[in-house]
Amino acid sequence: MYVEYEPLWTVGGMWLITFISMYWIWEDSQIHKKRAWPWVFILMLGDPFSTYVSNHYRYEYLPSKGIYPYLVPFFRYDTSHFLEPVWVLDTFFFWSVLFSLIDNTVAFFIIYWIYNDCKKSGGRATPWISISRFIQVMPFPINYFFPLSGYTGQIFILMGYILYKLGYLRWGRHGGR
Amino acid sequence: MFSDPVLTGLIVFSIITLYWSILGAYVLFKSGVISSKFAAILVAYSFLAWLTSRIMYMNFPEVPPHPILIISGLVESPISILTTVYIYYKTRIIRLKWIPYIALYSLFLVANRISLYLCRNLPVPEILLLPRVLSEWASLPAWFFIYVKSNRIFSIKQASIVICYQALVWFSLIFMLYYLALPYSQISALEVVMNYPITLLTLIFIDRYRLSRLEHASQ
Repeated sequence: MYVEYEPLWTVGGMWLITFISMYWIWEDSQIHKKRAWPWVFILMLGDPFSTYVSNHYRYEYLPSKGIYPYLVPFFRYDTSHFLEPVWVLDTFFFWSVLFSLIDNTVAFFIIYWIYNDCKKSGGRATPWISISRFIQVMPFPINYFFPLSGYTGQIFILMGYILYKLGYLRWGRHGGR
Repeated sequence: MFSDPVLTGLIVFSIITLYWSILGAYVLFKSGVISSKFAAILVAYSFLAWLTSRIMYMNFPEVPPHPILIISGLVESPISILTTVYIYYKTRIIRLKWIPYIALYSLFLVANRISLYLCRNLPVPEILLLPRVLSEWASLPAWFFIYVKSNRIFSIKQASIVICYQALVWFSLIFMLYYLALPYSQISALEVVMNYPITLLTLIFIDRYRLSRLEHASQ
């Protein structure tokens, strides 16, 4: 019966992070007069497999169990029926919410630092911002083979950027410049 | 307080929502994208957009889910403008007259919400198709206004091809649902893939337009 509560359990405000990273990508591409579409497109891929699984769960699997989450006209939130505090705390608070808070904060500050640093040095920030965001929203099966969506992935990005900045990493014919 | 798990959960989620809203608005202000006054408005708006549907769910349990969708859709619509058109405008990729655009966008929004209301008693998952299709078609004037009229990102011919493709996607969804009787889960997954060409094409054309304007300006 958790399903009836499902729409309640999403965090708001994350759209501002999408807004700011998209803004930085377009602004940076304007400054450097370089193409932006590949970097924006990878952030707009969505996830066909997850879409399939979530809709299968909602429209095919749940009605067979007698649960119609979309047809609950007189549903009343009687909390004593369904959820136990320990279960909620364990599932939502400690794992999903806490980890996403840490991961996204680390990611956001790394992106912000790279953006500021590139602005000062005149380097291009778009690839770093885009890849940093992409590893957070990777579709299946890419996320299966590269499980870097947490803050570990962001640390790799930061290390990569610092190595690039110090001249240990190069890409393209002219070192990406 | 902690004896009610739903209330506890909502309090924690509201704190996190406020955290992301303040952090996002602060960084937008620090990087010079918005003013301090607009940052405060953005924090309030972001929090209220999240809060509205929760208030509906918690305080009006007798209301069916569709009015909740209708109202939350209205409240959340500025997000889609800010994360796309406003960015293009602010970074000087496009030129735009805001009043006609907002008028056209509001028209699309009203059509979207009315169609959702009219179809509220249809069985699911059909309800997810018809209102969305109506809203997408109603959104075409706003799309046309930005990409064809105000900015020559698409020519009339190219825009017609894009619109025809969108119509084709819709027909194929209907075909899959009613004639092939595919489960909605498969249709929704295929739809994500079928939207890739439009996304890709739009981004490439915006980029091409943007770079040509930059080259023209530097000459």
